[in-house]
Amino acid sequence: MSSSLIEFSHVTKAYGALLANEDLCFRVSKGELHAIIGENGAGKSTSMKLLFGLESVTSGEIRFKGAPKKWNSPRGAMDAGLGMVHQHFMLSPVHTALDNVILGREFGHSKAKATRLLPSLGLIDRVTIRRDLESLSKSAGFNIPWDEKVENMPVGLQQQLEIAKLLYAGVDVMILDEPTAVLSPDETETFLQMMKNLNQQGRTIIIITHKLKEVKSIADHITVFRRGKSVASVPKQDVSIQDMADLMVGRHVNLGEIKRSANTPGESLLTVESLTLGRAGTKNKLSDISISVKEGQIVGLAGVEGSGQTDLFNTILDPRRFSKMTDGRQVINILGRDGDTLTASDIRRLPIGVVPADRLREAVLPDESLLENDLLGHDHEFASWAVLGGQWLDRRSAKGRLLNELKTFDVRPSDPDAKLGGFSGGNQQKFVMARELSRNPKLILCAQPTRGVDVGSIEQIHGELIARRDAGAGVLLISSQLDELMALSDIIHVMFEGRIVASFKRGEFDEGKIGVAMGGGGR
Amino acid sequence: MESTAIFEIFLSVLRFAAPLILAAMAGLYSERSGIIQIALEGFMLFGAFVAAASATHFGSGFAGLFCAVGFGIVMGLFYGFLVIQLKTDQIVSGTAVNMLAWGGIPVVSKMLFDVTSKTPAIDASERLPQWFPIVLALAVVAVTYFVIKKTPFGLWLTVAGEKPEALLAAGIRPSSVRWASLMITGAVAGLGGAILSVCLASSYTRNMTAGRGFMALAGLILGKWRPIQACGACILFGVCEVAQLKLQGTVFPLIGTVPGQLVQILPYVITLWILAGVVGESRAPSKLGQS
Amino acid sequence: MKIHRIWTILKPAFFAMVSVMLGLLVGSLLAMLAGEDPIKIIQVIISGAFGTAHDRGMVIYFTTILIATGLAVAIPFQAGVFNIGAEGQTLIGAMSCALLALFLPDALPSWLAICLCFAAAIIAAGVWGGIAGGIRAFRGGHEVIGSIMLNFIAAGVTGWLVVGKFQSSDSQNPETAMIPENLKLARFEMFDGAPATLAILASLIAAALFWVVIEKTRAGFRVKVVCQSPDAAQVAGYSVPQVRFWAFFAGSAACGLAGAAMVLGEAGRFRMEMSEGFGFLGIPVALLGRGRPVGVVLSAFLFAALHHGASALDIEATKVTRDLAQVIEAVVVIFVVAQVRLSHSRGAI
Repeated sequence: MSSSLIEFSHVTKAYGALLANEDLCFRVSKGELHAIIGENGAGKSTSMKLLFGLESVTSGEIRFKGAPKKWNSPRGAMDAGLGMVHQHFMLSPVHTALDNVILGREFGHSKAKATRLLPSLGLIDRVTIRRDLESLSKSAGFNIPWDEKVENMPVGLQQQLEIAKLLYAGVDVMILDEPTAVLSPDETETFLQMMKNLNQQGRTIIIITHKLKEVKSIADHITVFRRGKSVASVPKQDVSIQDMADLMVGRHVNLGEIKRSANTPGESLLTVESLTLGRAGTKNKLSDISISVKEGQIVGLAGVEGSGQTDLFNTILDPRRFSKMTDGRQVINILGRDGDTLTASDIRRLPIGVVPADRLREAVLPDESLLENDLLGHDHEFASWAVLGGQWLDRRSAKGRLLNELKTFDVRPSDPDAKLGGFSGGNQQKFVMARELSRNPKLILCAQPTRGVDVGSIEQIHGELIARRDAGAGVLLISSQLDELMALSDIIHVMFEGRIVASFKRGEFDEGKIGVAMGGGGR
Repeated sequence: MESTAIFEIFLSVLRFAAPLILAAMAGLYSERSGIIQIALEGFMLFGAFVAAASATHFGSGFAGLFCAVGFGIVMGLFYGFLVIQLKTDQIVSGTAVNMLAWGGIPVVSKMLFDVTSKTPAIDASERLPQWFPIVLALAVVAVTYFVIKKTPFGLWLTVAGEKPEALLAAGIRPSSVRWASLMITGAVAGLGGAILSVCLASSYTRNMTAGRGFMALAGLILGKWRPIQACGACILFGVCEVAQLKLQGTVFPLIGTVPGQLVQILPYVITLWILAGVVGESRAPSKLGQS
Repeated sequence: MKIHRIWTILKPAFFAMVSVMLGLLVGSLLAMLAGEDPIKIIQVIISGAFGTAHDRGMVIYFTTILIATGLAVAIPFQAGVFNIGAEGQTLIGAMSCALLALFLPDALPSWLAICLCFAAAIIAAGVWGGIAGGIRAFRGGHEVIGSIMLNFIAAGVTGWLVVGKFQSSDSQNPETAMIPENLKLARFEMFDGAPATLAILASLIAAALFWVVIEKTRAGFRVKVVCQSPDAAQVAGYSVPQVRFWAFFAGSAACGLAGAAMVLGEAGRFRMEMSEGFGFLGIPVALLGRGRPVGVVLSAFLFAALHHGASALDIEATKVTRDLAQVIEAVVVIFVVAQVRLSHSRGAI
């Protein structure tokens, strides 16, 4: 038992009242390929930040090689032989691959310094370092173009570069946060093979992920996180994919069983026909997208983040802005109007509710009062004084309307002058829903409606969306939570690299198949 | 005869460009590390005054240069205190430093020399030779090129301006790199001002930088934040300035006189043009002003 | 609750006062260092600003100009863009005003001609600044660099126009001929010939208009949204580039008032480099006034008094000069900027 390299014992991490990790216990043995799995927000990344010294433990202890870990900064962790690849790459886009690897290790392996001329003068010896890296590349199976700028490299190569950085620094323990989230299936395949090789060369590897298949194929040992706790830590052969899924989700929140009326979809509210978005010479952001949202229908868009959902959402909100980037064939039709003839502000005057993905950045002004936030995107409704071209803003009538809104949607506190930033995530989101839905929109564009929202509010928000659908509204729903999409949608389109790669009707939903399509596989 | 005249013109171009080149290099260290530098004008003016005052005090032109460099470092630290430590707005803080120079120098000058307009003339024997600033400026360009391309500090500097998170992840604090680069900025800009008063003139005269700090900033942008190109842009400014002087009163066939003022503003028009992305692509360090 | 609300309104004013006090303190310490009696220095500045009717008139004239250049900075700032080009915008405004005044037919009634001259100054200044604003809004080039370049270009172009094209034949200085008498703004008699004119009203109206637009109109609301969160503005259907451009345009246009006040109210002609740093002074004015209309008016008055009062130092003091005022201004800016940590992406100054 004492052979464990890293040991979390009763580790708790609190951010104010929120417990990101609670009483966390698990071990990682030397030379192991250890997978940590769990849903979004289960505390996986936090635990690794604690290990890596980016955050400090609230209570409990992390032990390294049998003794409490000594470092509390990334530098210290690196000196102890740990390296981490973050979910968002730490690469400078305008520097070459070589320079990104050199950064912080400008003199190569420390032993070499004294014997070489340039380093002893305090200069970077790129020729020698490059030679070292090429031999390292060969043994690890990289094919990194060392003199290319990072911004010109595909994501898969950037991922390799991050790993090359760790190898060059000579780490023994590699921590990888969601390494395959941004990779295509081919790249994923290569990547996993590489991990296996590195593991066989004696390195300890910890992978954070929520892709169960990958875990099953490469990991030696699996730890499952749920709501900040480790609920199981077992050798791979002891669990099936089904077991892992059950452990991850745990007690099922009955999302799948919201009552919905069995209506037939009515007229089309939104149609997008063969939309392609991209500049000449660069990869298309969207390719040949066709979808339609009808009355009484919730259309779900699934996909790994960055597969084009956000681009589609933004294009629908402002087709004209993007028309220069399209090849001219696309047709966006919104509530019977041709998208190309509408400005962004025209579109917001149509009966449309818009709930964007990044609440604090796109949906509200956190520093402003509820009243100001209620005007956001709806100021034209309170225009008066036609003499001034309707420029006068009638805040008094806006306030009256807002009070009703807050009551109906149970937003607390219901003080129009309170700063929105002080509200809980759930109440902020309920406020956004209140603002957008109280106008009885025919079409609702809704992205990540329950991100950072407590369970109680999630159910309320889901109920509201279903109720709107039953009442005849059409909903375009983007979510990274597959269970949310499956619970709400009538149709799910799966996006991958800017394309729709698969579509499923309600009743045909299959988590496995959708998951495969999200990774770009299967049609 | 003809060739010496051309050589003379060439020298006068470089003489005008030398302080600009130094100031542009100074700005380069700051801006490449992610900090907008509109205080170059103030740094230069302080440098010019401190150099002239200390040169007369110590009776040595070199002493003047040293004092200007030293004071430049102090001002760099002061600016760093504002924008790194207190995280104040970089543009407003830069403007404040400029105002401090515009107002503060005459006040101090009045205290020391009882006039606001100029310092006492430096002894002719103590003036530094005219070729000195040119060599100095070109040397600083070479060193800067070398630092950026070949040294670890140069790499840190540029990463600090592009992706500070990556620098932090590699275990180096971006703020430390920025402190260091602001000290260099202050020192080199001080030097740029110093050669104005100690080498190219015989004393400090009121507001003698006359916008050269801003001009250097334009040169830096025109040179796309790269040492050699920025140096080239500053030389172009020198050409325009000298042309403006030479063209005065010259009547050309067909065109008539060419107005000097319009030749003088040519560099700014080009800079503006480039800023608008009409010709060429100028890419600023992506974290410029956001630290 | 009530007290809290009052405090949130008064806090900026309080901090502004503290900054000014600290600025004066540093200024008088410096004067003491130079061997002057600091109390006397303050007295000289105050009596220099308000001692005679003429002085008071000068303060009003400078207030007129500083409100305008202060607004030139404050208005774009509401949309999160920084206008450092008031100097050049003022020059262009003044030049256009003077040229139009010189070439308008005499038959026009004076009031109409004056209005036209004001309009010319406002539009020209707005368009000039709009170049930098447009480069920022539509092309992404930094507006600060753009407006610095435009300052130089404005100085060059107006210099060329004065010296090369419209040089007054009966003057040794680089300046245009005098505009017709009937276009000069009448000076208030009570100020003993100082150039205090109705132009002050134009500046105050501009500030009031600014307040109304920001607080009461949809355009003002949009400006606020763009400043605080361009992403939210986009989702709400507001065009971020348009808002930024027009805010920049409006700010620059305010400089036209300064230019017109200089030409029609004071000099009666365009003089080379007649903006004399008032454009740059707009930055501390806007900063001390926290970008708010009332704040800008009050701080414009304060800086005008300091500016004019300090000129008395040249005569009344032996060891310090009017330059002390600029040191005080710089110190005030440093203290204000250190307190408010202003940032382009979030809220008012």
